[in-house]
Amino acid sequence: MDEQMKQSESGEQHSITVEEQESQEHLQKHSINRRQFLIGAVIAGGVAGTALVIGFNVFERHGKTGTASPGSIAHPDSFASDVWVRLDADNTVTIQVARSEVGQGVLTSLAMLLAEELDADWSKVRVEQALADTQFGDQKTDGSSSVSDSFYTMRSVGAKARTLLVLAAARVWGVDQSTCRTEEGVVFHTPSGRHLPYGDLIGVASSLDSSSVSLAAVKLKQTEQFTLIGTRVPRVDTPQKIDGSALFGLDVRLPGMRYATIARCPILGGTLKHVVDSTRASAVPGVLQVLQIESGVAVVAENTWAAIQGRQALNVTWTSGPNIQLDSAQLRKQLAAGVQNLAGRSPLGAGKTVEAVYETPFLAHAAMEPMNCTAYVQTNHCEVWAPTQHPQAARQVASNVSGLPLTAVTLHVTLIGGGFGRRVETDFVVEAVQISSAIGAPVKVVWTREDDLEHDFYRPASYQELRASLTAQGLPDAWTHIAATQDTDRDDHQAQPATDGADMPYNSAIKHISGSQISSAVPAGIWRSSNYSNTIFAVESFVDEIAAAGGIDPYHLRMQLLSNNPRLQRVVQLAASKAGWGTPLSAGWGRGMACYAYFSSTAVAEVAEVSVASDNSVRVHRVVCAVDCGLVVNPTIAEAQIEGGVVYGLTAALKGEITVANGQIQQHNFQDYPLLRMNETPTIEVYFVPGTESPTGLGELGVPAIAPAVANAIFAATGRRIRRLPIQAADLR
Amino acid sequence: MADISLTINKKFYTITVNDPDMPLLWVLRDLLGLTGTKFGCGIGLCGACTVHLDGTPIRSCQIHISDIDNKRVTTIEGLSLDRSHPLQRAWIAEEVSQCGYCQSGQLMSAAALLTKNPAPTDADIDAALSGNLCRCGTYQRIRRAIHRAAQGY
Repeated sequence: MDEQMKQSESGEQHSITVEEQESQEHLQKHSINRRQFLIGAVIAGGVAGTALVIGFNVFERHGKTGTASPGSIAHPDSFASDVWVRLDADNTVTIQVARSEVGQGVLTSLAMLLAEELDADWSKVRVEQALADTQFGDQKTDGSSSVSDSFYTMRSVGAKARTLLVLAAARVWGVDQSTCRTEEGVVFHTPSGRHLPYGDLIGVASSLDSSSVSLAAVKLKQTEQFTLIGTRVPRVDTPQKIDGSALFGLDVRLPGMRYATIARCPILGGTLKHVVDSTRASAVPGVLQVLQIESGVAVVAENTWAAIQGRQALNVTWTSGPNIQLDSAQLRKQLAAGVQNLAGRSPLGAGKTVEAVYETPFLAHAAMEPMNCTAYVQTNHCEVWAPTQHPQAARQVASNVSGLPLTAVTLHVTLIGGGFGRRVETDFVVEAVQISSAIGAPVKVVWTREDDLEHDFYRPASYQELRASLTAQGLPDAWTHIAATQDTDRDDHQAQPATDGADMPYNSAIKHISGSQISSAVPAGIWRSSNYSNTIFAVESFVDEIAAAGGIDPYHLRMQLLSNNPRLQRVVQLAASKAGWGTPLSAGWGRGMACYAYFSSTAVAEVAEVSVASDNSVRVHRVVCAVDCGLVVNPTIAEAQIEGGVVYGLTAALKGEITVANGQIQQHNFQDYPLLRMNETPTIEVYFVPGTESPTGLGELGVPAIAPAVANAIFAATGRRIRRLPIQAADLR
Repeated sequence: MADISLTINKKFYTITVNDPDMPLLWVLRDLLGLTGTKFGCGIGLCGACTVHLDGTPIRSCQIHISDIDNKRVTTIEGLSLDRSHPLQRAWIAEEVSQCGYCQSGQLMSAAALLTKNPAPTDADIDAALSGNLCRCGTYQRIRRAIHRAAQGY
């Protein structure tokens, strides 16, 4: 039997054996190797001996997205003990990426930023997913912020390393550094043509006083000098994602590792009363232990299947708590009351008025990889492998729960099968650390899809009332938007005001925007584009209603009302022209448009082409997106982010809805929480406004505009107005 | 206890299981360490666990190990030895993957389609692949990559 397998299956009640009667090669290839696992993208050449390592303690968070500037870099000259980039004698350049790879391409795009200024030979670049560590600054991967937050910092690190290498070469040659230049991993002495690869210079470069190179003296390239940034560099994580070798959180395997599932109270706010009977669970072959932890009752087993079967055999009673009567109708009433309490405070103009109420439901994240975490707590050390968007928070809770100091906790960020905001939470980390502490063995906690959908931190539902009065020309002279949603403010989360995204960009003499936040037992959290997915649906549907009321084409109305916002105007114009706005469509077809700017940064416009069949079923055929995010770091990855956002938003527009009855979430798996499938997916085109300004975010940006664009297209096709999501055939009758 | 003989990726295995109902998915992932096959829903609705059983795409979370004695299984790890399958090359060329979690299943469904139908239309692709969910929304790139592979990469 394979040695690796003996190790990984060495439970006391060892009941499953596997014999392989041929070569061991295959299994060895896929067995866990901790070093391999540490490395997110490519295995670095662990070259012994001298290496030049560059670390700066420079990273600071710059707000939501897109506001980083060179001036905001703190302590540029202080070297940290850990490294951002390491150069080895074999010319390998190893770059640490501190933001989590959730599919958005940061392993590639952030490494490109550093490699650009280093003038590295990209073919020699290796990328590692960094451990959780405060010396990397903020690692929280949310708010579409990774590229914008890193744009100057990653480049500055690369530029500083390049400067040191040039100084080293100049010293070796006895020439002035100003006569040297760099290109693809080589320093050239321009007058003589002498040259040295970076790998030959690391000894001298390491001996230099790196603090003598001040960041102020480090010159960053001008946009037109970029050779990597702006190009379609292939993603570094693609190869391992097409041959099964990529290791996600759920793929972690350690010697002696146990598998655990957890029975959690299905009633919101309920608690465990007692375990009536665990004998049947314990009798399931492969089940090792049943124990109580904070979030419920854990079944620990030799493999995932046994853990799932064991949990099913448990007999547990729950104390239902105060929410046993809670249902969606009640939650809706609460939100509506929040709006009522604020209503009637802002008078409209004397002209024609338009009024509408828009509603959106709670939504689940439904990442393809269900929540999971692996932990091994030992006397003096705790090691965690977590698919997390918030590495440092995960490390902190591992420290809190294990009782070990932070320095005794190593937290590996695994590859991640989708985040969408769910994985900024740390609940799954707490569970793994608690169980490992209790059983004294490494354990992987596996959530089933049911666990994942029933115990999410949901995108809050909303109820929004909009009112406007129009001038004789059909333009708004007063605009009122009252938004009610649920508070997500808890622990380390920032509150997401109900008005996020409601600061509408259109001209109107009077704008009155107010928000009301309710509390409920439904756990709420951040979700790809967060409250923008609520408010942009309302604002952009309402603009379409104003256009209809005033008899103005929605595109022309937007262009007119955006006269003070050229950036948005530009994307609206681009999307309209690419979509063929105004060209005729068949009966039953329509085009709809929506636009917005995310926290005043990236500007997006989307045009949806939709048909409505005689049975009122809706089909989205084509979506045209125009985006202004400043400089595009990697067009292939950037396009993919917008395409993905549109599909994510279409699921919300056409299908997504989490409901509550008797205090319980009513959706359990993909049969009652369906996601958009390939045969329902439109052609999606993405166009970028050419930009040279610092890049702003993209990860969430495709999402908010698609629901209103589709709803407005349905109006164009049928004259029926959609005011609640998801879009239902009943609302089209 | 049951002894199951299986050929997986051209290698012969004898597997002794104490639960004959254990789905193939967990045998592959937890017992054999073939973690390229993914768990997504456990009820056959997402396609992340797609493998080939005697050449036919199946959801490995729905197949009891005892039901496939003496059968031949191909997983993503066995699609090619060196990422040389036309679909793998097309996946690279079209930059399909985002998070990548569903892509093993997508590739296995696509490979089975091309074996049966070397020149699929969009409708053929939709029919064969609509059982495979992708939350990152890579569907149109998957479609393009399958066409590219069908055209000899």
